[in-house]
Amino acid sequence: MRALSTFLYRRPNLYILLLLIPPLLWFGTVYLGSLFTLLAQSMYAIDEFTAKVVYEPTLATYKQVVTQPANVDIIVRTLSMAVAVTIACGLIALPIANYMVRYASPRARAFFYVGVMLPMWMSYLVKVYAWRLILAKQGILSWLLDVVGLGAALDAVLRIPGIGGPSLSASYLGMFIVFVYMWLPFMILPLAAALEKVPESLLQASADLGARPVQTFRRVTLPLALPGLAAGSVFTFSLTLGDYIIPSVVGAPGYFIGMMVYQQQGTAGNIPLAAAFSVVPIVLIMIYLAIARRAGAFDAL
Amino acid sequence: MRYRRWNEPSLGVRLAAYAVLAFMHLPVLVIVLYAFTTADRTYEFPPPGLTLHWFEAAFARADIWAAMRLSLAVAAVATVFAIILGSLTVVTLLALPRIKGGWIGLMYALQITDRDARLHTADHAD
Repeated sequence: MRALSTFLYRRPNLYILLLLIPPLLWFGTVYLGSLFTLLAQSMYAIDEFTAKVVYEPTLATYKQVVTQPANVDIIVRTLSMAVAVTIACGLIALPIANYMVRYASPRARAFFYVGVMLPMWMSYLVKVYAWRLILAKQGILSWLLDVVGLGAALDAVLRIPGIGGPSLSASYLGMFIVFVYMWLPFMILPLAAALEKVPESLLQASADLGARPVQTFRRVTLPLALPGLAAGSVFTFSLTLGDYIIPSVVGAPGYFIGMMVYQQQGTAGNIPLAAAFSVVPIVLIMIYLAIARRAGAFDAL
Repeated sequence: MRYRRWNEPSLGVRLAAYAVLAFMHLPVLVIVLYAFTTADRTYEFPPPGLTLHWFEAAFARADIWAAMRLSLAVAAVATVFAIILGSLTVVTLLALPRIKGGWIGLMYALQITDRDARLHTADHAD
């Protein structure tokens, strides 16, 4: 035993390699294995008449995804939702993350951290259905707005074409609210971690030099917290692109990429199309990751 | 003239922080409340009445207990594996300053993105 530990101590690289083998093995089989199966499946196409998969390499399925207007609609819809959700999460997360790391007393800070993480421990489905109760036609939100006399305002918002609908729970606006709610902790936590690293001396210097709090925030805090914002946005963006449960429980009937994948591989039985569709978010996310990497997102993780 | 401490948060900042925190807990409260409502099929609010009937109904079902046992068992096994693989990864990441964790972090981030798609492919891979 002692000889072994001495041997490993003298060869740190071998030691690290040995430690890395189990995670890499897991990563290789579970992640890369299924990813390549997916890519392979997307290179096949389905025979229109027999509805059977033809095992010959072809790009026909990809062509179908990027040229059929209905499919392009799905991609655009999902992408716009992901962008909107990411921006909203960033805007909402900034004040709370900044408050909890900068101003709150140690006790209040612990309270905030637990408060932010607590919803993450709750069942995903339970939260989605809770939002259905809140956003329903006779639900809590419309009741509350009626009480304060804003019922008419809600109706006006719901009449807006595109984001509106018969009720909040059947509109893109409602879906947007649920998405923002779901991914908010994924934005707040990396952002708080990045804000914590901003040295207080810089903020003091900024104040000494006569900057107003807003100026300090915009010109000192925000640029230094950008990696955290980028890291959080990777989560919100990619989680929205891949989700298929929220769009099927809350919101307007239009399809999202995740739902399309779910339906095509399930009831429709078109595995190649499902695979090609799931390559779309992977490509979009890779583009996004390349951008986020430049902003330093992975230094903050 | 009253001077503010240099880093005193404004009332707006304070309110915004607590408002976001409240927003994050709204559904939890809703679920708790609806566990007691007497309304059967509607999403009526405020609840017409309160009852403990749903707990009785839930606990009387044998399938709920079986599902809970299975969930607990799966959660325990998954936790053990995640702790082993996760701590091994973190230890090696810390020991490898040259790679900077950038690419490995990226790979892990990528994993989160298409979990559903891979789940289904794994289902059908044959």
